Amino acid sequence: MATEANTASSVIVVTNNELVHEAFSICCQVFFIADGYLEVLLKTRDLIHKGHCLLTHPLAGSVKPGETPYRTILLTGEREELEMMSLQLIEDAIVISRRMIEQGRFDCRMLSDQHKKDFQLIDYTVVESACASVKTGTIR
Amino acid sequence: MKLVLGYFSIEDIQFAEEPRLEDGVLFVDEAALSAEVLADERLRAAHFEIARPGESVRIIPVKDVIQPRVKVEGGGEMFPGMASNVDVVGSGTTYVLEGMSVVTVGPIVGFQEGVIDMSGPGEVYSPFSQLNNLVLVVEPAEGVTPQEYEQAVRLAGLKTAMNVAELVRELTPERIEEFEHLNIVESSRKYPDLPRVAYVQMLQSQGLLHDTYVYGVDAKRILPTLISPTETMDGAIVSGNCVSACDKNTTYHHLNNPVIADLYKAHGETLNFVGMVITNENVYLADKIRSSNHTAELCSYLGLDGVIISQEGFGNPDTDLIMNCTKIEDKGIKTVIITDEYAGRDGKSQSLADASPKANAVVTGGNANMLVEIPPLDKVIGSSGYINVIAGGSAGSLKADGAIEAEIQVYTGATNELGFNKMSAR
Repeated sequence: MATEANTASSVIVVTNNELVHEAFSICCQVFFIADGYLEVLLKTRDLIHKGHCLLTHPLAGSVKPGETPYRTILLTGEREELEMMSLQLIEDAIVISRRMIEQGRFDCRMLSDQHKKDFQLIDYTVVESACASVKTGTIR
Repeated sequence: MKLVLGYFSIEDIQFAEEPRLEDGVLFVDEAALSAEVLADERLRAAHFEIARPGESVRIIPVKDVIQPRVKVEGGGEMFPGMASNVDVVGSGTTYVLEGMSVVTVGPIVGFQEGVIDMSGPGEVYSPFSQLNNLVLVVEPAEGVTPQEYEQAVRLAGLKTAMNVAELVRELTPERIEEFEHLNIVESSRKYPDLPRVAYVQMLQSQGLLHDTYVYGVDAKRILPTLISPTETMDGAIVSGNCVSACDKNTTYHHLNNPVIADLYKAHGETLNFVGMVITNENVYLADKIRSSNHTAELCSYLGLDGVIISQEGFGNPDTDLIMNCTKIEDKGIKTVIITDEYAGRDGKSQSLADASPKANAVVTGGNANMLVEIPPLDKVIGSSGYINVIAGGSAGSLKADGAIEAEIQVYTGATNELGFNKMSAR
């Protein structure tokens, strides 16, 4: 679990997934977004403009925008100069996500509690897989 | 390294107390196979069903598809490091049960698995509709986590396929095929004038139901490495992923990789198939950079003229794909990439999440967003209720009469990025 992931204080988490929020808030700074998938990307873009860099791909995992309510992204805690690769990735992700959410017919209000938990778990395990790299000291 | 594949054509599957292969009909003992599956205490219930081509049957939710094979000569057993000892495979003789598969079915999380229609208009979207399918339906024991359940289902499928294939160990195959993989010095001497071509296979490696295993190792934790194409035919690569079902490689795909098959056909004629590199698709950006760096270095080390790169999945793997493509091109090596598209339901939107002018030779497996309406089938193996939450479906996808309205991404293998399907685009 994330509690053992020893995610360095130099990692920050942006998520709208309660499971990730609960697991990671004891070891890193978590920006919990009580809103949709797209809002997580927009908050991440704001942080990138402030000098934080992406550590995980904003479209990580195979459950696509418009097919899940949840998204979690890891960034560096330290602020540096604006990094163009991070900016390019998040802008591309926002464009694709907007389109897929608009064109999709996914309605998270229709999801049962169990299905919400399933979506949370998959999002969590995708982030957890990145923690293995953080743990071994590979920040960037 | 030389591997001989011996083929047995399976025309039908029947349940019987005495398991055997007779006149193309495979008789299996359901009770014995179920008992072996249930030896795993993580599984509470297991039973088998048979789905044949042309039958009015829908299989959902599909986890993995596995072709039964047995090694009768040479080192190791099938699926080394996963379902057998971690010996090197890829040489000797392996028997193959053609025309059939073992399909594992069981909801691990509610939205992660695919659909196979054995007849009707949906039949064309999954290549596995053309097989006689021995379908293993399982349920987890109480208290088993999704991770434990996924592992149990994965192993149950592999072991069932191995048990079934044991039936032909002492028989004589109908036909054989030989695949030889020379070392780089020998192949250079033998084909000095042919272009040197390798295959880079990208493996999905991102978490629960997003993983692939190489000799039992989680592919997240590998550096890109060389592997003999014949090793993949003996199950060195095993699937642990199935979402979105359209563009994930099942274990059947890994055993029957059409890129490898076509490169072997051209080998010695129009090109020298030098070898194969496997790499991963991690979520961590530093991992993506590291893996694409090493993939390009290995391609350069092999002195290649051309590389075929196959992707698995969509979205963040597009970044791995473009990194691999551009870094290999920067070494002066020509690339062709194989991908699929999420171009919107009208097919007019941007197809990939990343792009480069250097990716100028692209083969596509089709548009996963294409919406299809499929009438109901008489029988459902599993539960069709999952279509409402499966990736590519949505609330209302399942109609009252059992019909489906969903994107083709729900179908297992519909837009497969190894080219193991019949769809494409210009």
